[in-house]
Amino acid sequence: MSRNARDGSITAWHLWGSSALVGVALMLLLGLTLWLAYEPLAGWNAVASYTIALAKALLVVLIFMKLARSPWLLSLAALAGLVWLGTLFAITFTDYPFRQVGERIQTIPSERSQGADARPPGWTFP
Amino acid sequence: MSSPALHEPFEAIDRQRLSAALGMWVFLASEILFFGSLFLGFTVYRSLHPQAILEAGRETNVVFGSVNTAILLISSVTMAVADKAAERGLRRMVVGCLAATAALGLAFLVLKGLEYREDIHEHLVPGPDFKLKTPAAQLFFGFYWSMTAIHAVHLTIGIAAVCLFAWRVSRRAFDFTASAALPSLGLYWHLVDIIWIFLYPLLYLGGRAP
Repeated sequence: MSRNARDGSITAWHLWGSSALVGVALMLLLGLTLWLAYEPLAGWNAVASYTIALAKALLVVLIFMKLARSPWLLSLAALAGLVWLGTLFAITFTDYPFRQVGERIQTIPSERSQGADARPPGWTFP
Repeated sequence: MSSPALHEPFEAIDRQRLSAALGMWVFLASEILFFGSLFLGFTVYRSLHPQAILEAGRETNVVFGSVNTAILLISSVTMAVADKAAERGLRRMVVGCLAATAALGLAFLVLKGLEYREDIHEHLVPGPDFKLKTPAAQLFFGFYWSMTAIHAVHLTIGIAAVCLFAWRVSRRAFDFTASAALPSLGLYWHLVDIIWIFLYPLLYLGGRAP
């Protein structure tokens, strides 16, 4: 056991305090996202869900993963993943939505045979 | 003063811990891209077939999903406390928190198994007997099964690693206070939690509002 522990200077609060508070905040956000998912928000439910998910992820990343008090080098490594993920999304969504009718993809092979619209489905954003 | 946890080629334990954290973050960045491609695929199909995807989303069991989310969030708390206890050299607290983390991870997998059983019973596996008539609904469940299964594999690896570390710490097999192993394991566990934080609204909350 460490010197600190022998001195009895480590209380349960030092160990559990901030982590438990973050845990409570995460639970409250979970309750909030569940409640909002069933509320009529005129199409903003997905935005609310993912905003709350982002808030939960930030709490975990900054406090539990200690990125808030880590050297910038570690933040840079984490951001690199996010930058490339953003690039992946950006390139994809500057391609598919702007394809012309003849270039649009057909995702369900059976659509034509089932008598659906002869053209592949167009793009509609949520 | 040299620590037993210090290994070649490092000359200082702080440098070794920083390098381990950097290596783990680089790995986690690759994991973000790995799961990110699945999220991207889902988003593309959601844009193509918004109504079918929302209709399919209503078929998932939101109770299982919510309880499992709560379980993983609590496991992140116990893992964070294990990390703090390790910094202070509190062996019994470290072992206890790691055991709780592994138990919560196992509880998640058990609930997931029960949910899978219910899904199979309700014919929610893409194929000829699929429950919903809209063809695009099968796309949703293709992602559902793939993403949750890959997440479960990651969680299983995490549980095995947490159990191994708990056993080694309890056996006094290594200098857990100075070692970079426990903080690195914590980073991995929290990322698995974060992946689920985003899977939850993606798979369980869509299409619930009237």
